[in-house]
Amino acid sequence: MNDLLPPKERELEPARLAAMKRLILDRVVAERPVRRRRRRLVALVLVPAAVIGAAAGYAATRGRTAEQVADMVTCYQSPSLSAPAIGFPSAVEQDLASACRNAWTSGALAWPVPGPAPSAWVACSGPAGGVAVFPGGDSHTCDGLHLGPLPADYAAAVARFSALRDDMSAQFPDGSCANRSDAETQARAVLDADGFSAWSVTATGFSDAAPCAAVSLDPVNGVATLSGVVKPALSAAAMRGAEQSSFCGPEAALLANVRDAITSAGFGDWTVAADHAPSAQWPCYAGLDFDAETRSVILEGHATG
Amino acid sequence: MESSGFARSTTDADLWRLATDGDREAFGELFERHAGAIYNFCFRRLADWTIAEDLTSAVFLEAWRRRSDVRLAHDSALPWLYGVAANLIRNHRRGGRRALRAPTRVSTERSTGPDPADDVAARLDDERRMREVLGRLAMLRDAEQDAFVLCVWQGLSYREAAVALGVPVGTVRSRLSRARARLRLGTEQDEDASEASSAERDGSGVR
Repeated sequence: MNDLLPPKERELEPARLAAMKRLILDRVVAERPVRRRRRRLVALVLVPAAVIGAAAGYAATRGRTAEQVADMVTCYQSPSLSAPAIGFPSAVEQDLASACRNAWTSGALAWPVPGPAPSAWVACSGPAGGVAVFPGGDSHTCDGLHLGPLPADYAAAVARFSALRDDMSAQFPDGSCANRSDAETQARAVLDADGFSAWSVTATGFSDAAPCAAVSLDPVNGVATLSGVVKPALSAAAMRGAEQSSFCGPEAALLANVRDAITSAGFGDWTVAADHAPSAQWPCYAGLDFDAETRSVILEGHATG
Repeated sequence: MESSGFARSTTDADLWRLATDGDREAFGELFERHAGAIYNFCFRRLADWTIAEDLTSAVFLEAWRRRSDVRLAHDSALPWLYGVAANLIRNHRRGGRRALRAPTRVSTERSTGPDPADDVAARLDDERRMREVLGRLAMLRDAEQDAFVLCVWQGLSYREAAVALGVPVGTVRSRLSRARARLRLGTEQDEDASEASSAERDGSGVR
């Protein structure tokens, strides 16, 4: 079986390895365990510019405090709210210009990479929360876009918000299931301990089918929202079932695998469906979603084999 | 690369405990120790050095996210990291390149080493060769391919491969056994076909 010998191993060039390490360590401050309903790894969130524009109450951004913009960073390709943009969580000691240059050179902001990354960037209070960062050195950029300036104590606010985000993540780790009542008590305690006593806690979407709390933080309005999600045992079982056929058709066999897996895990009252039929071009599904209202596991998204 | 300040005698398990408490430098040391192995593993599953580099970053970001969920049962973190990589590779295949548009691709000048043109050509040769090899492996189920690559190419023990794949040791053994049997069978069939073809070309083929 000599034809099964792979090419010899290669080492990552030291400079490249160092750059990768730097970038990962920069990012891990911002990357916290997030309760994900879907399986795909998406480190950044593409921000549709149209949505940003629609959500923008431009004048409202002028009075935002540092606390209100400390959660997210959005880099834009040009000094326009309709330009391609990409958003990611804020991070302690994050240099906004460096972060946006990295997003630019990595191709995450626009692909193909539109030339060398700009050296100068301007940060403003974001139209829909967080901070918005635009290329160029024009000090009037924020005014021209009807956005407020970056609050002076932004860095300190990010540190405080990051601590809150960490503590909430620790309180509600992946794989756990806190019920609504316990979660409200725990979230309140974390907010108070971290100096966010003025924030409120709200709960939504809890039901017998979605009894476990997932938390999201809204610094603009000072609200920690607890959302009801399905039990981790159900999502794990559904994943196991789908993995048996690598998320690929034939559709009937795939659905049967998922159905058998969730039934074995004690969720026989849930149904399984696909949001489209597999095709020759897209024979597989990209992930799973759960509809607690109809107690349905839904295979969705197009994927190749 | 800057030194992370940890002695080589510091075990992965110790580093992992520090990382779980939020120590980024400990996590950086784990990255330095294992990035190369993960990089080559990803290449050997996908035959693309660029994607392998992207995935290597993604593996460590995912590892950081899941650090609180994991207690290393053995000294080395590598088997578990291989498991994370195997999952991301499956996701990547399922979702295509879209899933890898992470901000972790770095841009640095390749300024050292031999002529860059030679390096590019060598990498392309690697990728072509790797595609051929993976073509041979395509007769195996995904799970069998994982067991084969981890045990045969990456040199993991059955026990380590079991950690990586999250299955019992016996399952690794049976998958590897099946993989080897099917690969042997495929090779013999290819050789038979090749001999028959040669015989036909020689005019001595037996019909």
